[in-house]
Amino acid sequence: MTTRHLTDEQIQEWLDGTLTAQSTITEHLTHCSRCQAEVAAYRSLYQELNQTVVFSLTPDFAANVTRRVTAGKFRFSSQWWSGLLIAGGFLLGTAINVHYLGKAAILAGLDRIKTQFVNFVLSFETLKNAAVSLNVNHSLIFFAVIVLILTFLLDRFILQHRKF
Amino acid sequence: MNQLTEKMAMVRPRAHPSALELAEDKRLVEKILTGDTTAFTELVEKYQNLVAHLVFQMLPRAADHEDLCQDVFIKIYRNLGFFHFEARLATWIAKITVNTCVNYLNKKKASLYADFNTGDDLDMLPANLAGPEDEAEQKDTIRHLKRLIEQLPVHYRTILTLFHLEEMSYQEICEVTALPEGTVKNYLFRARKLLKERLQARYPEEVL
Repeated sequence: MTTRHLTDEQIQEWLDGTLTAQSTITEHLTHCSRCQAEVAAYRSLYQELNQTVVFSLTPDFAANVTRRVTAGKFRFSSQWWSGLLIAGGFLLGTAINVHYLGKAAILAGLDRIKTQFVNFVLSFETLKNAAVSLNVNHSLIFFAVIVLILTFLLDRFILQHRKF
Repeated sequence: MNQLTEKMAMVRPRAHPSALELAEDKRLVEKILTGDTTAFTELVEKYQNLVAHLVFQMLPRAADHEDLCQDVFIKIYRNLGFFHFEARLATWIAKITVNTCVNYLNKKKASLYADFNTGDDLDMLPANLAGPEDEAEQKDTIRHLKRLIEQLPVHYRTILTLFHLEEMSYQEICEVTALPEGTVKNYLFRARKLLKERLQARYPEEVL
């Protein structure tokens, strides 16, 4: 038998039907008049909240929206459509390049991109060597990276929620 | 003993979509995507109360509620191709409505400052809504409660609407508002506690 009075949260969860220990609360309520009164007050509030506001739109609201949709000739946005456009654009661009520059020129261009990419990757190694030669503390860089990641996560998961 | 507890408990099961409801929504969406405007009218009629409840509750001081509701449905129409039934259609529509209202408040927060009150300073809200019309509605609990709700911060009002009027579960409210479940429950409990206390203060015996 529960001797302590129920908290507001327990009563609300019990009324919501989400409390795991429903039976304990029910048992307590059979003999505690103070908690019974609190439950009655909340039950009354729930009944009013369930029917408090009935806002009505004009009777022809649905017809008006449909008219706006039809008049505006809105087009559906879809990921499938966007993906198709990107793929189509890429293929068209490649075809135009092959037509005007020739296959050999395109392959040579791709080879140059590959060389640039390799040089870019190697530059990181150079940067690392430079950092070592300048005696920069690695843990400091590591710390800075962690701070940047945490700032990103903070913005993504906490600050964005707070916008609501 | 059982009669007593049954009378006291007011457990209202949360809305779980039936297979029929899901199939009906799927049929509607597919028809709309093929260009059937009659199906779109059907969808608007089905969900206009959900959208209206949220818009009116989140923006009680806005003058153009109906235009906003229309804007929500235009957004729904344009983005229907992105909806793949990962959630209930009602949840997705509520999410679009809440985002539209939040954007509206962000744009007009100077003139609708009270609507945009997102602070947690619930104790700073007026304890008694004094005014000449209050005397006339002293016995009208529902109207008084409506005025008390309007004083709450916007996210409290939204969550109360989703839970009590739209019968959404905690999880669905989390999806709509992008808030963690603990926060949703905390806002809901605090809002109801505050409303109960304010009503008890006003109607000490006869109502509560």
